[in-house]
Amino acid sequence: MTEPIKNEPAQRLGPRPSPLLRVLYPLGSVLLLVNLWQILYIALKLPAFILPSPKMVWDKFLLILLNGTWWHHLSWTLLEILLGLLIGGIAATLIGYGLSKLPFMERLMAPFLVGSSSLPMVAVAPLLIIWFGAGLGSKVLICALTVFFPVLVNVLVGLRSTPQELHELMRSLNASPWQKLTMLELPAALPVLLGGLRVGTTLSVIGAIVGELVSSDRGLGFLINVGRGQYDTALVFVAVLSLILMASLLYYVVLLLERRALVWQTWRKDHL
Amino acid sequence: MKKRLFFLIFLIIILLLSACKPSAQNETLRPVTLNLTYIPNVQFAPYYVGIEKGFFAEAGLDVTLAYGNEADMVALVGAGKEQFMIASGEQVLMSRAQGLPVVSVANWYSDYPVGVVALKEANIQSPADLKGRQIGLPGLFGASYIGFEALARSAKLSDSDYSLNSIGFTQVESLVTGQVDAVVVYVANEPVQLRARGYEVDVLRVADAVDLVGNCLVTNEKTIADEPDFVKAMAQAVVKSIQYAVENPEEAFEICKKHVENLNQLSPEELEIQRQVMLSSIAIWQTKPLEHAEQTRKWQNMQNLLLDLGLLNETIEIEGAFSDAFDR
Repeated sequence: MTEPIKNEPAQRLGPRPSPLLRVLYPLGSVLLLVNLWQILYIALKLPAFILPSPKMVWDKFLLILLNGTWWHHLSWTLLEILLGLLIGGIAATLIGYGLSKLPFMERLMAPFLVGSSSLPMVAVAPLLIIWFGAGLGSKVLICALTVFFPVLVNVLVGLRSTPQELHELMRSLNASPWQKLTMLELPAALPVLLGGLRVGTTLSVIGAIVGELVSSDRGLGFLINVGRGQYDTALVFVAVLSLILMASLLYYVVLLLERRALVWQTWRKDHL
Repeated sequence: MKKRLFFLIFLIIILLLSACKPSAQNETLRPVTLNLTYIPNVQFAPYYVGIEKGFFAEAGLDVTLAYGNEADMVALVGAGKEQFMIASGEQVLMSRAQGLPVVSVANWYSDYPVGVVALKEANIQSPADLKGRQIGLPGLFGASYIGFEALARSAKLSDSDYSLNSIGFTQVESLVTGQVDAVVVYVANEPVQLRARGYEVDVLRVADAVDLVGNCLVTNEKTIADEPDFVKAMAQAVVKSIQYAVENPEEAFEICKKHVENLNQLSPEELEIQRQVMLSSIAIWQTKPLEHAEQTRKWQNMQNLLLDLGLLNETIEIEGAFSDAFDR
């Protein structure tokens, strides 16, 4: 079976930097990158449709931000991603819970779970668009599918990782299945489940773009296609950078959600 | 806290959903989707003109344009899930050979729109000069591939005489950065883009070597059999739209600005390039419906080429692939 996504924070190198430095470091790295890019632009003397300058990209961004084009497309892609995450996440959690209660079903499904990790969405997306149309539905489906499998695998692993003695304790206290779910299984599975959701979030961004690149008339993927078709490479850059920004923000939102949901875990680490 | 967070997420989704308003539909008009390939582009000017000047509405149609992969769209039209699309002649014949009953009912392009473009210094001035060259093309499929093979065969060249590189839709970039000697393009688009950017180029047009069927309005046999009036309305509205765009190019270009994303945001120089692309595209559009004998000859040429390339295994009934009962 696919390896579950571990939900342990990376070991920090050295002491925690001050809040000011924590803002300055990423800012510095972005500035460094922009400068490098500008140097490359000047040194290589490539035409703008092959490598635009940072200023051209910034101007393009301001232009489409102010006339509403940017939000028009970004909001569409965001909608596809959020709906995909919601549907894929809920379906994976429900089915994962069901499978954990029915071991024979899990064994029956095992080949699909293993195979799913290598499902090439780029190849499947055109088919989904043929079957379900080119509208919002097929993009949401593609996102949901990309989210579904990592979350499902993590739900299964999370539920199975509940300590046996706690199960026995619940049994001895005569807990109802609902109580067992809400008081033991869900809290125990949550760290691994949310780890899966975190990876699923970045994957669903890729899913949405793959769908939009195949066929769409709205969204950041569509904007990339339009920019390519008109040799407006600055527009392609704006769309790609917006995607990176959006994926990072979504990642941090899930991380934040994780911190909120797993307060008890931090408490346990600090106190036990 | 958690409840508030979920409420917030719910609210965001509702807000985003409210962004997708259903388009206003005129109840007396029949809604129909016309599937174009590629992406919104000035080369599709007739269809934008048809919508904005009301030619589709006059024919009782409320047309929505959609864009997508040509092969996927042909499958949908052939299977009867969609009714109309724009497709290239070879797609019609190859689909029919696969049992997809698609039929061309109006010609859009009078010339096959594909050609080979090379920088002047490469000295490629006739198809015979392609020998020994690195050729870039989107892939070994579609109109570019068929068109290139037709051109090469007109000079008695075969695949061992040149090297074909699948470069996706990066023809202009690959050519100017010297990755290939020549690229296969749409003659109305890339040569204009290159010249406008100061590159001197030579263009070999497939249409100068062999007369093939280019892009046409395609439907399926079921729609023709069940609703011939519907097909006629669509075909005639398309022909009228093409004619209007040819006669009023400046107005057509203004109309394009409403339908082609980002056009209004281009610099004046880039906008002028797009205008030139539309004008050179107009030069190869069919303004009058073709005579039957002429059509048959073009379709026959295409069939011969596909048989020669091994893309068709046996001859098919050419008469079934097109109909001139609807566009006049």
